[in-house]
Amino acid sequence: MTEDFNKLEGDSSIESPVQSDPNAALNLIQDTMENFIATADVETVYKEPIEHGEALIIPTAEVVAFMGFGVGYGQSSGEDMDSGSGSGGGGGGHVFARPVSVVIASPEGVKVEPVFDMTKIALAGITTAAFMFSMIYRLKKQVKQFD
Amino acid sequence: MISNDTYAGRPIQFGNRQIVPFSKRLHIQIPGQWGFVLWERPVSLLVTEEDGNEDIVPVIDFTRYIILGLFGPIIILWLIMRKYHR
Repeated sequence: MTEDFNKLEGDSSIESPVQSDPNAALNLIQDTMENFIATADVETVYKEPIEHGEALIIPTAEVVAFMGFGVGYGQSSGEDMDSGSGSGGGGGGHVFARPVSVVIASPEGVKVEPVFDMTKIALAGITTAAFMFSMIYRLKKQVKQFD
Repeated sequence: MISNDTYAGRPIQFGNRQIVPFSKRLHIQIPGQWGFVLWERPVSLLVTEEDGNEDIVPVIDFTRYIILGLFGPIIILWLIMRKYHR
């Protein structure tokens, strides 16, 4: 057991680049943020054109990306074993895209065909219906109480 | 920091036509580089014909408008409810 502990203690000398250089963590955050920002670009919104017979098809999409980070540091000024300090950080993000329309360029002209996201529309419809029924019910209840 | 800028994409040559796509980017940056929100969506296309005729074709997101149209009555009903509650 003591040997294992010594082994672990010996391993503590191995530090990650982030531990050895505090600026490395900030650089890592900066790089990650730049990579995320690069995902929402004109080239991402308008995809690579596809040739289909005499027509050229360009799919379009909207892109939403968000990210957040946080770091913290604290220290105690107790005596002997109680004193110490620590720091930590974390972050997360998400990127998602939704098709908006398809641009069709043909010898006759350029037209935009919309893409309907039926899942989103159905979910919004169900939510609206649920809210409306609940509100009408509450409204009727209040009117009855008022009478 | 909040910015809402329009960006032009790479021109696409198709036959005698040139198509330039445009997109709009809403960028909300939390001060101190601790986070951000990005929303990039297509807005329009600039179509230039061989004779120099230019035409702007809008890219409309019908799904977004339908969803906003559905949530509109909820807000109206909620406002009526608040009035009754008072």
